[in-house]
Amino acid sequence: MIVKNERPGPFRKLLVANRGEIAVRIIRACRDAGIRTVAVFSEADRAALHVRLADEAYPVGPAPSSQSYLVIDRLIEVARAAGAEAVHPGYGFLSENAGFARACRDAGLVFVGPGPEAIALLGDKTAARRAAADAAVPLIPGTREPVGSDEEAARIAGDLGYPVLVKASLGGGGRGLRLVAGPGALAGALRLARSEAASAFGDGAVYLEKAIPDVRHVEIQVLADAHGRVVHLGERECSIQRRHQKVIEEAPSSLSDPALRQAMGAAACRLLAAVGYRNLGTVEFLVDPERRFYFLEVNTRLQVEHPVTELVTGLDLVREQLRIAGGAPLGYGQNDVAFRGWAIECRISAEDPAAGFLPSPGRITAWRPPAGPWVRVDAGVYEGAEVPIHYDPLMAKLIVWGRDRAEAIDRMARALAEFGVAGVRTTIPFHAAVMRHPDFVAGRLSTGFVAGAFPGGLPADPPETSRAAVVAAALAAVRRAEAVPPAPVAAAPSPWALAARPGGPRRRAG
Amino acid sequence: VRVLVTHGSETIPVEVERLDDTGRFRVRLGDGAGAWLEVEAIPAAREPGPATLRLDGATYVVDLVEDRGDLVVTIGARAYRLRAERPDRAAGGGGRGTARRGGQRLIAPMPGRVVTVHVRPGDRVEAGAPLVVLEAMKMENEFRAQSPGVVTEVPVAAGQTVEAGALLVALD
Repeated sequence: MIVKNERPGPFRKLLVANRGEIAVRIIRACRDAGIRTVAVFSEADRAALHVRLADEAYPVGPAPSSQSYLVIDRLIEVARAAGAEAVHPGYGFLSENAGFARACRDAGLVFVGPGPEAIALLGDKTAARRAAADAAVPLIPGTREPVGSDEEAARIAGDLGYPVLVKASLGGGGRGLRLVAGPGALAGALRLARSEAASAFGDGAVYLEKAIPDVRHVEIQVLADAHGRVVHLGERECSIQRRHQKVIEEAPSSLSDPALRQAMGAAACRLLAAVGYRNLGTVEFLVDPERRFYFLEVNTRLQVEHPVTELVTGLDLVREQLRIAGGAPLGYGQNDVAFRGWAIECRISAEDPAAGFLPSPGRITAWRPPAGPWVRVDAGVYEGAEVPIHYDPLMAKLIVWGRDRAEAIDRMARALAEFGVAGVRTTIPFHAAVMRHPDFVAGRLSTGFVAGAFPGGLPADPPETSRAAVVAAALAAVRRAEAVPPAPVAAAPSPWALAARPGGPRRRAG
Repeated sequence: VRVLVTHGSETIPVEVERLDDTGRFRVRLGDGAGAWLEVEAIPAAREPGPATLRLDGATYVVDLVEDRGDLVVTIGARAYRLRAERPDRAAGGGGRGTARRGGQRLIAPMPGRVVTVHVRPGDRVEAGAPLVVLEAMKMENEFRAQSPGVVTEVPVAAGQTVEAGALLVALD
């Protein structure tokens, strides 16, 4: 689809209330549109990529996000002080916090996303289920209200039939979510889910849903402008998940055909139109092997996996968000939306797939991303950057396009083989293994794929590699001992100290 | 030259002998019982470690840098955080990484925040009993006992931030 190249407006300066790759993505869209950007950063992110790329950057507090990226008053204060007219929340953090959207509106700032009413309604998963039922969108069996005591939960779970899912009412991104195989594991799962939900979302409320085996996770991307037009951009297949967190996404879905896409797309548009939704949103569905689809939830924000939709539709979704937030009409209808080729995204995280995907924070000592035709890397890091322990381990997204699925898989395999990262463990070897897996190649996907195909993650390191690392370290210690002269008694003055000394070199003002 | 290389909770003694000035060495891992291995190392320009290592017939491309006193060695997609010390300097260092016979030692595999400590010294635990919940990168990771035992040491408390390699719980 060719969209008229219209500059988003009317704002000229925007605050990005996020970090990492998504902050970088938003800064890029703003730059493309001639909008100046204001970054915010915690103490752990002083040297982060988004801080380096933005036009201005302001500290917002200590490393823990509860004291920095989640402090609404501080973000509003920075936006005002910097003269920003709009705020983009990205994903995670405050992106689905109605209070933040309201605070922006009250401060006279344009919130790039839906209104606080829609966020509050759809962000409450139980209320969203009621809204979906009212809009005649099929639902998965489960509770429509948060569960109270463990005894009540046990009774409901028994009625639904195991396996069940314990889900945070205000959840997202797999946090506060546990799969329970049988009654014995319910109490522990409730405890962990409540604790995770309370620390991640400030509310420990959880509800129960029946877990459907062999399902696929397929979601519909929707755009709704301020003039009543609601258009969907087709589906994304997000079945490749680990611990209920998506790790590989693609568009379109190998399950989909024009009829299923039309049916799911219409259901998604119906729901968002019914709640008066505006801006970009995603309606998530589960699809069973008989192609029956069930409403899962609505994500009232830009999604991590949005690039695969961009590559098959030719639309810049962040730019569309900015246009809608500025009051512009979409300027195209459902029949103008066309799909071309196949896109796949792999989330490259600082986790060790050979050790149960344990987080692997640290300094990235080498970073050699792949390139070439139809290869896109959305990264929030660079060589020498630190992956802090305080945030999500996502470092980058690798996205490729091909004329069909087979070509996209081949291209992804090539790009993964080219991707060099040192200093931290990454999920690159895991993605490479998935690209070679016969079920993945054949498009036989389900949300249980990772657990079934890679029950313990990837095999542990071969002992020869570990031995080579030990030998390399030993040689380094020997070489260091031989090469380094005894430490001087007085440390050499720092070049910074020299520069600041009267008469020393100075930076010219202005 | 003897070097002690520590990886997580494991300490491996390595004997290194230089064969010539072209980067050829022989090394022996373990307590003198293992076989000598020939090594050819091509050093990187500015880093202390080798850039390419030929060991036992295989060639490894190595990225090695120092980070906060540790050596971070990356071979292919595998990054190792190691500590390499000469024994004379390591003597009396204690604490981190000192191997001990018997019992289980639960070592933090990554830095993080201790969310919950389920046990106290003196507790008897079964295999699979939850010991500690460690939060890192927004996920809570529950660590369980691998075999039954008695808790002898719990040097951490809930709310505390720990480094990778820190002892969380010791069992006998």
